[in-house]
Amino acid sequence: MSHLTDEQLQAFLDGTAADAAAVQEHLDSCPNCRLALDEYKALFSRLDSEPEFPLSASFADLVMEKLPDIEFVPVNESPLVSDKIIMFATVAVMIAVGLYFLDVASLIKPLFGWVEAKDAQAVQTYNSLRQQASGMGNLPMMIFMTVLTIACIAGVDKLIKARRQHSGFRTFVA
Amino acid sequence: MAEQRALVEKILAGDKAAFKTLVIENQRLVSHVVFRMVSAAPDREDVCQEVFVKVYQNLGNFRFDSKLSTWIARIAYTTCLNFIDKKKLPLYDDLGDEDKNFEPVGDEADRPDNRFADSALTDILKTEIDNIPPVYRTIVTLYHLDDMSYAEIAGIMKMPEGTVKSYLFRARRLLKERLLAKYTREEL
Repeated sequence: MSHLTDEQLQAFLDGTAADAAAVQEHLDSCPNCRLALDEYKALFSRLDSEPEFPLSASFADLVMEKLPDIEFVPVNESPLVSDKIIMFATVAVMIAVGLYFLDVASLIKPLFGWVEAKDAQAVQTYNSLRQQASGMGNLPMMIFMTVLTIACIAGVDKLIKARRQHSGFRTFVA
Repeated sequence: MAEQRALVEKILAGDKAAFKTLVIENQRLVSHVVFRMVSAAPDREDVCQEVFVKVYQNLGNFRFDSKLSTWIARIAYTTCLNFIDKKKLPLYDDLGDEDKNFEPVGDEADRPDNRFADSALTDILKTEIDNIPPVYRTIVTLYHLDDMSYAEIAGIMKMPEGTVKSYLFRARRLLKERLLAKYTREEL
């Protein structure tokens, strides 16, 4: 009959043995393994009662003297612009730029290319959108683009700050 | 956990006396990690102080996703790693054949007098623990003196639970073998 391994004995004493019942059954019938278990018991008992490590009596005071003069300032974690608004602004900018500067028809066309009959619909969609965008005039369009750009910058800024504000506090060294 | 949160909030609100309470409550644990990791006695208390200064500086980053003591022990451990790295000291001395530093006392006459056996055994155990690599002895101490689980130790030392368990088992087996070479089973 093979004896219990050191790992099995230690795990049994730690209370982490997966096969505790089998280990106990073996121990009941094996004096050698019981002796080995007793050795570990004695060692564990000594390890549990090791002498403490001496820190000086004034340790806490010495630490207090070394503390830097810092101030913990709470950070407002609620974002001014929600993620949804940032996403919306980003998508809007992409659409606006697409409508204004790109030949959207050539981009849309392949999407509908698999059905020949959809070509006309694609062109019609593009023309309609282009017409609406043009109808806004240059000045409103520029204002619109500016607002969208600011919204995008605010969004990016917020995302960067969110990364910095990992904690609810910022530490300032005086 | 609620008490820990209240203590941390007091410190963050500027109550330095509350931080002293935190130091007193956790200095035992920090000393266990530092004294096991740092061999040079003159450096140990300085490293312990450095740990608590770091705890203070980083307390605003503590998110209560673990026990405060576990977080502090983690800082203690990384501070020790940095110290060891700076001093270019070995961290994982391979246990190798697991008895290369071991000088067995084979002769019965060499065994300590029974009257002094207990205190001598405590001293020898201390010496033998000091002879195993820092990571191993830290795991032994955190497990036995601080009653930490494998998982908690794994969290502090950033290593898999299985590795913690393996190191703990190897260290204890080695300690047992070394002690039994010098003492009888009954003396142990």
